[in-house]
Amino acid sequence: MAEIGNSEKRDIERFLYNEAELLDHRKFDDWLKLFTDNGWYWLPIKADQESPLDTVSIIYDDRKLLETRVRRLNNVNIHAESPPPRTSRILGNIRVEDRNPETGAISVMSRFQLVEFRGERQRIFAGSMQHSLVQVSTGFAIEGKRVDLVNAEGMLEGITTLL
Amino acid sequence: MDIDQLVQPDRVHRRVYNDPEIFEREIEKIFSVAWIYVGHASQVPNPGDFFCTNIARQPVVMARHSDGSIQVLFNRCGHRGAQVVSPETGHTDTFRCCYHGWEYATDGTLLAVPQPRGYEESKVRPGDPAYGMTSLPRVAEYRGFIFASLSHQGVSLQEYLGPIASSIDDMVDRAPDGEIEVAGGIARHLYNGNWKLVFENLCDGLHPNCVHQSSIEAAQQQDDDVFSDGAGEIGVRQMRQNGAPWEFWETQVGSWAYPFGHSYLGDYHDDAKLIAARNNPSFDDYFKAMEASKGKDRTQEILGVTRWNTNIYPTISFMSQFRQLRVIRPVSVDKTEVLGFCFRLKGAPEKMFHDTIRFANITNAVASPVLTDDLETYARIRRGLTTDGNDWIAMSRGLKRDKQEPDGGWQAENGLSELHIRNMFEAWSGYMAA
Repeated sequence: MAEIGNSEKRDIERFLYNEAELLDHRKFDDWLKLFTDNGWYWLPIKADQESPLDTVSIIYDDRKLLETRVRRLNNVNIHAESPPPRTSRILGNIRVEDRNPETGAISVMSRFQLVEFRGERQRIFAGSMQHSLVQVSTGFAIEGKRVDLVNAEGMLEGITTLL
Repeated sequence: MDIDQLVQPDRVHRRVYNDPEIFEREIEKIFSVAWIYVGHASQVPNPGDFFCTNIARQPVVMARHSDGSIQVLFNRCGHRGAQVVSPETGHTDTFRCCYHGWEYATDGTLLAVPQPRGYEESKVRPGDPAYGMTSLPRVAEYRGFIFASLSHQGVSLQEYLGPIASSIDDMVDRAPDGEIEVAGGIARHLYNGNWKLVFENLCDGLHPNCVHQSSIEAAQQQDDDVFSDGAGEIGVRQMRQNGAPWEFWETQVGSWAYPFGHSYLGDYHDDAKLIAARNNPSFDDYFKAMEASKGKDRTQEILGVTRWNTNIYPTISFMSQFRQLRVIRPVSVDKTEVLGFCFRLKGAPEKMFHDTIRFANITNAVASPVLTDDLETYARIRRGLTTDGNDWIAMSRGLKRDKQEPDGGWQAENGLSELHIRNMFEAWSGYMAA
C-alpha cells in the first residue's frame, strides 16, 4: 500500500475544512452526502469507550439513523432548533495517521473548538475527532466519524448541533 | 398564599414550578422525608464497591460492606467535614479523607486517625459513631432496588411502594436467571426546568404527536432499505411509534395511579409491536431461556405485562420493555439533573442488551432527536410561567372519569388523561402540608 503523500494530506485537510464549513452553513444534506452508504457517526459518552454496542453514547447513528437525524434537522417543526443555533468551528492539529492495509481506509485525527449561539445562550464544545476516510471517485468519503467531547461524561444540556 | 391553596382538583398555581421558597420546602418536606432511590445493588456487587450520588442535594455514598450488606452513608468526613469519597464509582478497602487522612470502613466506622496522641484529651476515638461517616436514617431494598430516607420516621418501603412494586417485579421477572444488573454507562442530562416536569411528561400520552413532530415525520419518511446495523432499526421504530394517532392513545393505552404519587402508563407497546420482538432471532433465544427457567405459563404471564413508563415519586421513572431507568435529581427550582441507567437481563442473549443500549441512545442521550424536543419544552414552560398573565396551570384532562381499583389505585379514562399529574399533586400536598 502506497505511503500517504503530502499532496494527498493536503486534499484530506481540504476535505475536513469543507466538512466543517458545510456544518456551520447548516448544509446538512450536503454533509450527509460525504458519508458512505454504510457510514456511521459516533459521539461516545466516555473518553476510553471501545464500543457503541454495549455502552450508551451521546450519539451513535448508523446510516439509517443518521439520515433520520438530518431529515429532522431540516424539519420546520423542530422545536429544539427554533430559533436555530449558529455555530462557528475551528479545526486544527490534523494528523493523517495511517492507511488500513486491508480496507484502504485512512485514519485522520484532529481537534476542534466550536462556539454555539442559540436564543439566550452561548456555549463552547471542544474535543478530538477521528475520521475514517475512504477514496471514492469524487475524492474522499467518510466511512466513520468519532467525536470525543472533552466533557462527554459531564452533565450536558440538550445538543442538536452536529459536531 | 398558603400551601394548601396552591393545588386545586383541576389546576395548580405556577409558584409550585418557579418559586425558590416552594422548592426549598420541597427539599425539606418531600426529598428529606420520602423514600428516595439511591441505586441498584448490582452497582456494588463486591465488598468495597461504591457508588456516589445525592439525596435532597446532599452527597451520599452507597457501598458494599465487608459483611455483604449495602450501606448508604452521608459523604462527609467526621473530622473537618470534607466530602470523603470523590469518584462517582470505584472500589476501595477503606475510605480515606483527602484533608487529614481520617480513614473509614465501608460501613462508615472510623478506623484510624493520624497522630492519635493529639486527640487524647478529646472525645475522638476510632469506632465512635459521632466521628464516623454517618449512615442515612433509613435504608431498605426491594428486589435489588435500594432506597433511603433522610427521615427516621415514616412508612416502610413496602407500604410506600404498595401496588407499584409490581412494576419492579415486571423488570426483574423478565430476566431468565432471575436477576438484573446495571450496565452500559450513564446517560446524563441537565434541563432548565422544574423537577416535576419530567415526571409529568413521561406518562403524558398527548404530547408526543406535538412535541416530537419533527422526529416522527423524519422517521416516517425514512427509507427502510437503507443500511442499518441495528441502531436505526430501534431508533426509527421508536420515533414512528411516538406518532401513533391520538385515537390509539384513547382506545389502546391505559394510565394507572397509586398512593404516594406513583403511576404508570400501560398497554402502549406490547411485545408483538416491539422491535422485531417475536420475529427477532435473539428474541427466540430469549423466549427459550425464559421457558427453560420459568416454564411456559409463567413466561406467558411475565411477557404479557405491557407496562411502559412507571414513575415512583419523586425520584425514578423506569420501563421494563427496554430495561431503562431514569433518576431525577432536583438541583434548583429551575434546574434538574436526569441520569439514565440501563439494565442487563441475566441469562438473556447479549443482542437484547445491545437493543437496550440503542433504545437508551434514542430516549435518554443528551443529543437524542427525541429528548431534545422535550428539553426545549421544559425550558419554554419555565419562561412561560414567568408571565403574570395567568397564575394557573391546568391538569384537568380526564377529570372525574377515573375509576377506583380494588388495590387502592385509580385507572384513568385512557392514556391521554392527566390523572398521573393530579395524583402526584395529591401526594405533593400531603407532604408539603405536613
